[in-house]
Amino acid sequence: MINLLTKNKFFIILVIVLVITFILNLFLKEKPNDKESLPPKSNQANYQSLTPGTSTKEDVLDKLGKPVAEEENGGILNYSSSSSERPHQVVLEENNIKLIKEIVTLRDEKKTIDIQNVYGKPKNVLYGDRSSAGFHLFIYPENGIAYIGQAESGLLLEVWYFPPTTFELFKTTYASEYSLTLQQSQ
Amino acid sequence: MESQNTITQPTKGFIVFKSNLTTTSTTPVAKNPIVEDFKKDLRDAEFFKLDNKTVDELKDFLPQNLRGDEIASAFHLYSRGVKALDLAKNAKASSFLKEGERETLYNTAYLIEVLENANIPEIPRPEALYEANFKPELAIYESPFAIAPQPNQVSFEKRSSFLEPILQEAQGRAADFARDKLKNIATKAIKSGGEKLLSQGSKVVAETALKIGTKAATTVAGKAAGTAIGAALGTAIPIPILGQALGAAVGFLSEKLLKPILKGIKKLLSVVTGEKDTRKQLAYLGLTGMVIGLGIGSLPLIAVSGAVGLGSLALITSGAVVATGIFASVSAAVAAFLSISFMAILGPILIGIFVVPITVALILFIINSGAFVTPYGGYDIAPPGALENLYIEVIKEPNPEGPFANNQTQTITYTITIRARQGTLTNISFTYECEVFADYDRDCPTTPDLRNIRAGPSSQTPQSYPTFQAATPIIISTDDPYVITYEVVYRGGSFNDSLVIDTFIVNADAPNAPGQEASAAASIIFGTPPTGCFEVSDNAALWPGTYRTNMERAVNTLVSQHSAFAAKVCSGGGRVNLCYDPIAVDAWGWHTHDARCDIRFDNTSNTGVSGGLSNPNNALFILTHESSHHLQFVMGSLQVAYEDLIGRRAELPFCTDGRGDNMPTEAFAEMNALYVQVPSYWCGGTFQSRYPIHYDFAERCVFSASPDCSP
Repeated sequence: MINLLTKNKFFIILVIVLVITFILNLFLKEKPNDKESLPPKSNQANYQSLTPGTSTKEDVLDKLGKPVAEEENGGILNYSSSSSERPHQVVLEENNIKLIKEIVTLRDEKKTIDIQNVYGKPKNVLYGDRSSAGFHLFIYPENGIAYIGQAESGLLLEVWYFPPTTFELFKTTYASEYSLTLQQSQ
Repeated sequence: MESQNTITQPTKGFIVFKSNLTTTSTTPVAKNPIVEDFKKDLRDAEFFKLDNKTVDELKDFLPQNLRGDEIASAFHLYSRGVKALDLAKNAKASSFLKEGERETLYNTAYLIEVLENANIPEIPRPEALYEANFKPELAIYESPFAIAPQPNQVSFEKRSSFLEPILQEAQGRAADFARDKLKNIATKAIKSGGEKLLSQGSKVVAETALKIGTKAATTVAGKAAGTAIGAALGTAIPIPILGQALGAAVGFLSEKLLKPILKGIKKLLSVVTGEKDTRKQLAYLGLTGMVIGLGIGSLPLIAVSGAVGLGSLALITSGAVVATGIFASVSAAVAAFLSISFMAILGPILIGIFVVPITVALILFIINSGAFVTPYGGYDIAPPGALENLYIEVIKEPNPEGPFANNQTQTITYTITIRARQGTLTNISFTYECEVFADYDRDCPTTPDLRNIRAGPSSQTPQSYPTFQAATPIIISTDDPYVITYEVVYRGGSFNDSLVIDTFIVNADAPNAPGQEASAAASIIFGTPPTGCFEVSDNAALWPGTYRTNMERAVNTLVSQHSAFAAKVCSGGGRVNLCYDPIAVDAWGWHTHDARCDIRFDNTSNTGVSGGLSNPNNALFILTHESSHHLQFVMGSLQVAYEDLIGRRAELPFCTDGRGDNMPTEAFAEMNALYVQVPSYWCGGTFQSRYPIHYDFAERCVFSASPDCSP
C-alpha cells in the first residue's frame, strides 16, 4: 500500500478531494426540513392564511395574536379554541411553522365533507388511540392537511396543517404514535 | 407499507385467512402453558425473519422458492390452529389466487407441516393448538382492507407475484427477546420437522407438487449468472432469492448489455488512474469514493467504496482474481471501516463484548427464576380447568332449558352437582337465590311451587328434604359428588317476557383452605325479556353456564335500568352480539365492532384482576364499558362532546384505569361503566363523590333520554 502511495500521487489528490468535499458539505448540506418536505403546491392547505413550512413565528403572532400559553420554551404556541379543554396548537421549528393542530368541536359545525370537498377522498389513514371509537387520522400528505375524524358520522376532532410531504415522512415526522393497522384497545 | 394503507384503492386487495370456530364443547378449553407461551411470543414479536445464513444452512428442508416471510406466516397460522393440509387444499381451491400467490401459500403450508412434525418442546402439538383455538375451520377470502393480526385471522397483501403477510416487527425489549426466541425455535423446528418430512414424505408436497430442498441448484444457477456483476459492482446482489428464470435473465443481460458497458468503464479508469490492472483501478476508484464518503459523512458510500477499494487491495496482495474476491472484498471493507472509525466505536464495541452478554444473562436469569416462582398465569389466575374456585366445583343445569313462550305453565327440574376438587369439604352450607328480570316486579316461585328437593352423594339413592338447609351434608368427598335436584313451577302468565336467574351458592372448608365459596346459576327465558339489541351469542365459543347467566343478567339490568343508554347503543341498528372469546380477549372485554361478535369477553385478565364474568357486578361493569365503545361508533357526537367537557382532565385518571387522558375514548367508556356499576377492584367511595364532573356528564348526557351534552 505504501508503494502505491509513493508510486503515484493519487493519494495526495484524494486528500484534496476530501478537504473540498468536506468544506462543500458543511456549506451546502440541506436543512432537515428540506428533506421532510415536498415543494409547496398551489393547493397546499393553510390555516388562517398561515402556511406551514413558510410562515414564521412572527407571522403567527401577527395573525393569531398572543398565545394563551406556550410549551417547550416557545416551541409550541397554544391558542384558545371553542373547547376550553383542547387549545389550537402551533408547533414551530427553527422559527418556521412545522405543524398546526386546529381543534374542532360540535359548535364549530365543521365536518369531514368540508375537507373532502376541497381535497377529495383522503389518500391515507392511520390508526391511533381514538380508533377504538372509530376516529382515525386521515391524511392528504401532498396537500399538507390531515384530520382526525369519524367516517360514519363525518365528525371532526382535529385538523392538522403541515408542509406537503410524503406519507412515509408524515408518519415518522408527525404521527409516530399512530399505526398502519387497527390495534386492540380493551 | 403505504399501499396497505391506501383507502382510495380498495381493489388493490388483501387475502384474509380466517379460522371459524366450530367447537361444540360446553366447557372452556384449559389453557396449555406451551400454547400460551407460543402465542405470547408471537404476539410480542409479531414478525420475525431468519437471516440469509441460517436459511442457507436450512435450505435442504425448505421450499425451493422461499421468500422468507412465509416462516412468520406459518407460525402465526399454526398458532391459530390452522392445519398444513387444509391450507394447501384451500389455496389450491381458491381460484382468485394468482400462481405466485398460491406458491406463497404452498410454501407456508409446507412450513406448517414442518411445525406439525417438529419434535421440540417449545412447539405446541397441532392437536393442542386445534383444541385451544376451538377446532377452527380455515377460510380464505379476498378483502379490500387489511387489519392487524386477529386471534382468528391473518391478512396478506397482494403483491405483484406473491403474498406479503400484514405483520409488523414489534418494537421494544420484549419484542426483541421474543423475536430472538422465535428465530431459535424456527431454526430447530425446521431441522427437526424438515428431517422427518424428508424421510417419511410430505402430504403438502403430495398435494401441491411443491419442490423442497432443491434450492441449492437454483441458487447455483442464479449465482453462475450473477457473480460477475456482483463482483464488478463490489456489492452483493441478492441472487440466491432469484429463481432460475430470473437468474438466466440476469446472465443474458450481463453478457449482452453490461459487459460492453463494463469494458468501457475499464478503459475510462485506465485513462484516469494510469493503471491497466483492473484490481488497481478498482482500488483507486473505491478509495476515492471512500474519501468522498468521509467528506460528506455518508456511511453507505464509505462502506461500499471501502468494500471495492480495500477489497481490491487485498486481492492484489493475495493474487486472487476479482471474480472470486467478493467476500474478501466485503471483509476488507469491514476491516477498513473499523480502522477508520476505530476510536469512535471502541466504546460501543467494549459495551457489546462485556456489558450486553452480562445484561442478557442477568435478564434470562430473572425471567427463568420468575418462571419457577410465579404460579401459572400469575397470582390471580386459576390453573387450567378451574373457573371460579380451586376447591369446590358447582354445576347447575335446568331441564328443560327453554326458552319458553309466554302464558304457559312450566315445571323445570334443576340439578346441582357439587364436587370437592382437592380434598374433602367440611363445614358446608347452602344458599339459594332467585331473581326475576322484567319490566315489572315479580318474585321467584317459593314453596309449594319450589318442591321435590332431593339430595345425596351420587353413589347413593337421593333422599327427600323440605329445604336446602336440611339437605346440607356433613362432608363432600372428592370421589363422590353431592347431587341435589328440585323442581320449580312457573305459573302461566306470571313470568311473561322475563329472565329468571336461579343461583346456588356453596360455602365450605377445604383442607388447608377454610371459608371457600363457589356458586352456579341457571337462567330461564320466558317470551322476550328486555334485552334490547344485545344477544348473548355463541358465535365465538360456547358461553360457560355461569358466565352466560351473569352476562344475561347484566344485559337485563343495563336494558331495564338504563334504558336511555341502551336505546342509544341500539340506535345503530342490528344486533350487538356478545361473545365469549377467551383467546381473543386480554382483559375482560374487547369491542371489535363486527357483526359476528360486536363485543368479546373473557373472565380473566393478562394484566390485572380476573373475574370479569364470574362476578355479576363485574359482568355489568365490563358490558357497559364495551357497549360504550359501540356507542362511540353509532353516536360519535357523544365522544366529541365528552372531549370538550370542562374540567374532565383534572379528574383523570380514574382509579380503575390508569390510562387517563391519554386515551379519551377509554375514559369515556370507563365513565359510563362506573356510572352503572363499580367493579370489584373499586377504590372506595361512590363514583359521584370521587368524580363529580364525570358523574354529572354521564347522567345528563349519556344516560339521559333528553341529553344535555354541553361542556
